[in-house]
Amino acid sequence: MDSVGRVHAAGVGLTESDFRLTCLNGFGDGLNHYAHSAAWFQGRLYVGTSRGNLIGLRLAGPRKGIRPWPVECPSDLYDLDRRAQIWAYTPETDQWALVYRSPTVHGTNGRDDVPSYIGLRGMAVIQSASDPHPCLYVSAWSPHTAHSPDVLRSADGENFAPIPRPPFGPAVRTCRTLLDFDGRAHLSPTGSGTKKGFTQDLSSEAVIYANADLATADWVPVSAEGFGNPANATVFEVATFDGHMYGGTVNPLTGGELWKSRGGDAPYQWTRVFDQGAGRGQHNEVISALCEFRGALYVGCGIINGGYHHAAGIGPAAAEIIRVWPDDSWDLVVGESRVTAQGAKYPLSGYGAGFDNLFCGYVWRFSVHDGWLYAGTMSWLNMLPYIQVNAWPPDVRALVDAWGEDALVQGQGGAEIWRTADGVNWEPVTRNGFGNHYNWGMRNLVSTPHGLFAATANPFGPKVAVKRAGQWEYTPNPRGGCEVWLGAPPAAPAP
Amino acid sequence: MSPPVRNAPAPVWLLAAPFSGVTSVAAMLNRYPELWVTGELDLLLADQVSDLLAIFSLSQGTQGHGLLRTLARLQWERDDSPAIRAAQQWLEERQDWPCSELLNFLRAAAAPRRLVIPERDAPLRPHALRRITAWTPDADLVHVVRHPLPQGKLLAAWAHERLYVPVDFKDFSQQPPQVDPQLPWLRANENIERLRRDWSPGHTCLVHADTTSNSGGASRAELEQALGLSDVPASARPEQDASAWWLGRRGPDLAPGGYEPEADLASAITALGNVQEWSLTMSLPWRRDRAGFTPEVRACARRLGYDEG
Repeated sequence: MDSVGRVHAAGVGLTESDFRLTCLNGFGDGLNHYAHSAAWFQGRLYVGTSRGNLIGLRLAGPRKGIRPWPVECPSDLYDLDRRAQIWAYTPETDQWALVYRSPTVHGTNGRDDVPSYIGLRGMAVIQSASDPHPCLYVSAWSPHTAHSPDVLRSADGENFAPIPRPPFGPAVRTCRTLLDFDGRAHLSPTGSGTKKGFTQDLSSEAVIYANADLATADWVPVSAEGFGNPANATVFEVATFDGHMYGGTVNPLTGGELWKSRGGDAPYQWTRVFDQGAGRGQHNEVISALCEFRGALYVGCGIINGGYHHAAGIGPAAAEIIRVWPDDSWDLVVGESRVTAQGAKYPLSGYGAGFDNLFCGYVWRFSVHDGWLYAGTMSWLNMLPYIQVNAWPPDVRALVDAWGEDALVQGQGGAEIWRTADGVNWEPVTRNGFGNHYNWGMRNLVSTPHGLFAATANPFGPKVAVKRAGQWEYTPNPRGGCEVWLGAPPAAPAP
Repeated sequence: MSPPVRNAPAPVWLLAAPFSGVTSVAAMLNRYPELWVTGELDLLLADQVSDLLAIFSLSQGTQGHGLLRTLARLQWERDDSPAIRAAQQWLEERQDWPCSELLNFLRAAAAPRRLVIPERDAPLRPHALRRITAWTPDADLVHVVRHPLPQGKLLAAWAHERLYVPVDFKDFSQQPPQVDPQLPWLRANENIERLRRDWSPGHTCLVHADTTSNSGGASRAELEQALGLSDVPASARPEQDASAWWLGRRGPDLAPGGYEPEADLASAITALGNVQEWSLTMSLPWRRDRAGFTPEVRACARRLGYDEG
């Protein structure tokens, strides 16, 4: 039953065999590491990519504990083409087309080939006040040597142009979700960067901005910094539910928080739904995903940076799913039992954190499709061969030794998708990235009339480190780069 | 393929939270000639025998021991080391079997006696309990309960200074996480309650392990009536029942487990006292903050027939 009391019968849930690959290898370019944003618009699926994520991470500074680096990196970042792309898929023809590539600008480093956008992290179809019809809006990720990040607008899915941006501070580098609520479009900064370095999941400001007419620069802050708590470093995800806008934070100090508001005049009045990571503390550092399903708001929680916030000493720990009701009570659906301010909580599904997978760093995305709730995860298991694990806890080390590193990666590497018709009983759709362990995240799940699209994060291209005869070497990876899968039940046979 | 199961009576599942006395109830039922009581089979953990064996190989506890010892007894009428090795090989030769078929094999092997299967791990996981519905829709369900205070004391005693304690037994609101038995107690009992709610009326009952061992205890009589059992004199001492039963005591080195570890905690059981001394409102000795039972645990305990005290 949904929030207005309608009962929806679930259709046939999708299984792994219902999914087929529509594109691999990053649309033929292994540098398209993430299918970072996706939306269904005017009969096509649009995917915005982020490029060279794992390479950019390495070149941004030394990373302890990872050797060799999983992908080959040039010595100069500008040896890579990091201009983010938008691709569009037409189901009727089963064809992908490149519809947009980021321009370059003269950067603060004096170069003329600085990409405006190295990633496109959020998409939404919104009809703002000046729009004649719903338009596609795309939130971008800009390097610190370029301008502040833009939001792009397209009325036809072919031509994209930036709109007036919010009054971000200079360190803001990216936003994620664009949300249409109460007659305004909303977004919040979710990544920051300067010449000293960048972090894609912590922003320099934790504020939600809103604008009723995206053709204008009339952006206004509708929340206080961190909802009044300076430990809320970022408003990471937003969604609507039960007539409210919900905002979930990154809080490395005490654990993520969830807030809600009915909107109205700016600044909105906000109410805290839970804090302290819903009683789990720092191991629910971030609210990573939000989705309404059958009268409740499903909340994905975890730790940033793939489940291990190394700089803050948080984790590793696997992700959880919580569901919140209109009266602010909440259930633990997937996760770790505990006594909380709301009493004793245990996972109603019976699954421990990460769906019993300790390598599950996030629940990255939810989607409702044909009466089922689908949850896509992120798994860092594929990083295992490159991580120095000697200092890990003994039980984790014992597990790796018992399974065998290769067997673990080959057999169980890759992100997962799970489904449920009632929010409590869950079944796996895929537990190994559709058979490609390089698909380390199900970054986007999009429900469409043609089926459920699953667009992955797969940063293991163009060349991945492989061990041969005891020696590491970089070799071209035909299964590196993001993939897009389409799930639909088989067509009924003709009578 | 296993022999046909059509002549084998429907099994009885003994479902309980950890350390709730399922072994003592199982040992008590073992005295009835129409029943064949197994060890903890752990069959509900997987759909395929191959997956089950993989789980057993990774287990840091005694998962799989009950299945091996039960299979050894049914096949070769003993559970010494050679029989255990033979049982292991037998399972490995049937890795392509569904676990439901393995269960049917055991049922047929025990027939005409009725299989009684204790389960204290599956109640923590609804997806495991769903296999009971799928595999044996005509089974009888016996919900075995123990007051959460003695249950907690036993679990805490077992976990004390143990290197490996299942995550399901811990409270993760505390750093580091601390063992809190009321959480698995609540989780298992509420999951069993949900399963029983949808079960065929007349094929499910509730048994208090606190009282089944008492001569003339109400729970024993109700259990006999619910399962249609012959009249067998009650035993005065539960631990005598458990240790007199081959699956109530340690097995050979290859498979020493297969029963609830509380059977090894005889002195702890003796120290528990009796039901009149147990309260739902007292502070909990295993919690550093000495908090009491949560409201959810108290409400569940009352539903299961325990007074506030």
